[in-house]
Amino acid sequence: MDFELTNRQKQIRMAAREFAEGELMPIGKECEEKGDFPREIIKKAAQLGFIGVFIKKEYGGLGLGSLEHAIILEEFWRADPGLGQVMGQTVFGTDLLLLFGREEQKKKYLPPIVRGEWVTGFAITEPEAGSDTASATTRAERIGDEYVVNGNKVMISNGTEARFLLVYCLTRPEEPSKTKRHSILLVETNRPGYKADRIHGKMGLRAADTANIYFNNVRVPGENLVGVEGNGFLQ
Amino acid sequence: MREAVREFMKGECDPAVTLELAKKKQFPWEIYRKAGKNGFLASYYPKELGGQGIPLLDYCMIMEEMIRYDNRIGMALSLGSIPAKALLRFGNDEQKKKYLPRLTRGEAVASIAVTEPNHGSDIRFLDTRAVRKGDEYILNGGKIFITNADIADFYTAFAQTDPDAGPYRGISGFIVERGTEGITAIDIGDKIGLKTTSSCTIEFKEVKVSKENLLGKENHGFTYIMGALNEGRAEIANEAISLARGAFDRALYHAKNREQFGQKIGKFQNISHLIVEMSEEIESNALLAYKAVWLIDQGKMDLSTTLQAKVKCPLTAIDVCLKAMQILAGYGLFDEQFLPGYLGDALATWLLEGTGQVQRNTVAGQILGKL
Repeated sequence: MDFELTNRQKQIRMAAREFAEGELMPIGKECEEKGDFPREIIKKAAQLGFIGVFIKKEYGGLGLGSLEHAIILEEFWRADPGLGQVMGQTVFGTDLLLLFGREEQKKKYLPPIVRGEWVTGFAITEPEAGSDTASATTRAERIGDEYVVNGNKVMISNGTEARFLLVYCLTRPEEPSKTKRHSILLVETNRPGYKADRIHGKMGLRAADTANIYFNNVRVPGENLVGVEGNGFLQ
Repeated sequence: MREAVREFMKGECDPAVTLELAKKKQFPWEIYRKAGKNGFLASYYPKELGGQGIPLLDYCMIMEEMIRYDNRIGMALSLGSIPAKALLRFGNDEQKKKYLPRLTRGEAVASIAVTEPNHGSDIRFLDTRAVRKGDEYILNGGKIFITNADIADFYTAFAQTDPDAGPYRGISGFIVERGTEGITAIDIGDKIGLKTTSSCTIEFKEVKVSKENLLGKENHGFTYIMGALNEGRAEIANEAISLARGAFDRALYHAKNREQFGQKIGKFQNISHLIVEMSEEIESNALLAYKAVWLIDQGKMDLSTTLQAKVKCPLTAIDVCLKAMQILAGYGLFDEQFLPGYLGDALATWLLEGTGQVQRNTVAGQILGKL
């Protein structure tokens, strides 16, 4: 058992605190009131190495651990929860890529996240499928070399900000087992048919982007499948 | 190591036998001796004192296995040596070598005699007096609520040596052998918990103690009390978590086996959520208890952590025992099912070596500093 932080972890905490108190605290209240944030702070944080520290070095990250990531987010949230959430949700979905993505996918999509150029998200929740994930109905139909995605999701972090999303879709509705019907697709948000409506008036964490998103015949190449078809629920 | 302790407990602790011990208010000497032979008693003592030289945290894991298996035995075994910490930490080598190995060997238990009828939380002064006469001190006075005083080999006893000194500054510590003429130790009565250890009054009437048995320096006794009790409190916090785990184990077993309305009651959300809440309380507060002793092992004892553990862990134990009793329902009321014993012991951990209320005062001072 070891309850002590290493020297490097302590230094990371100090650096994160300095950034948080210098860059986040002064603008926190205004961002909360406006329900928005200046895009540059993600870039600034990325330049100092605070974004995606757990991402491996070959994909542009620092290859540190969950604890280092947690220490940084703790310092950011301490300074301002809304902006802390903005920082934290830049990488929501990258763990899925790291665990199940192919090398080409990781090499293409992770480095821009770490550089603060892009943010991502993980789109799971639907109007009729919250805690009951296995009941999700956003449909991704395999047609030739592509998937065609139809449906909508709610309360998706970075729905309007993300360059791409990891989307939890129903790919095999006829499958008898409820937990083997879904797959994860990487969907770039500039594809035709994708729409996102930012949600306003949240009670808290108002600076961070939360959106309802809609897929209207959005076509993604078959190679955008992340992991194994049918394993979406388990992944 | 945990496995070995568990096997030992399974082999030695027949519930029917230990229940009899608790009913008769008897200290489990036989099991105590066997535990000593296996190196399970005060294992954190250095080898030259008969211990195993393992970290205090590791020893707490041994006690955790014992207490969670059978509180009637585990608590008694643990309390055999906790009261000797003042001697362990502040005695000289001859004193330690003379008295402490008996504890690790399971031949003797120790008591710490501080509390008096008029001095419980308030030990700025003590009424028990120790007057120097030649090569001896003469002790006169009375103590109360002293665990195992009627069976202990020796006490670390504290008395006022300088009545004119300021608060806390006139107290000295002594190693006093129970067999000394003038000592009368009597079990006060039946308690709701800690049934295999006694709680006693001690009367000192012209008791002669050699100056060789003075602990450390005259009039420095209060610092030894604080040192001993603060380390003891970290151990007691761990005892409390161990009691919680014992109650939890039994509640879990019942939830998984008892059937009503055609299913195991653990399937009903009311029961399953109680189990989860118990686990939440135990796991989060166990970390405080483990951290407190881990810091002691690192040589970085933190008073605030220790005393917060000493407050939270007994509260956890009491809460978990009450929830466990709800799950066992009717069965939970019976001594045979262990739960009343775990609850009674949990109640004791709140006040052993200092009440939670006083602990909070001290922590406030630590956190806020001098205002």
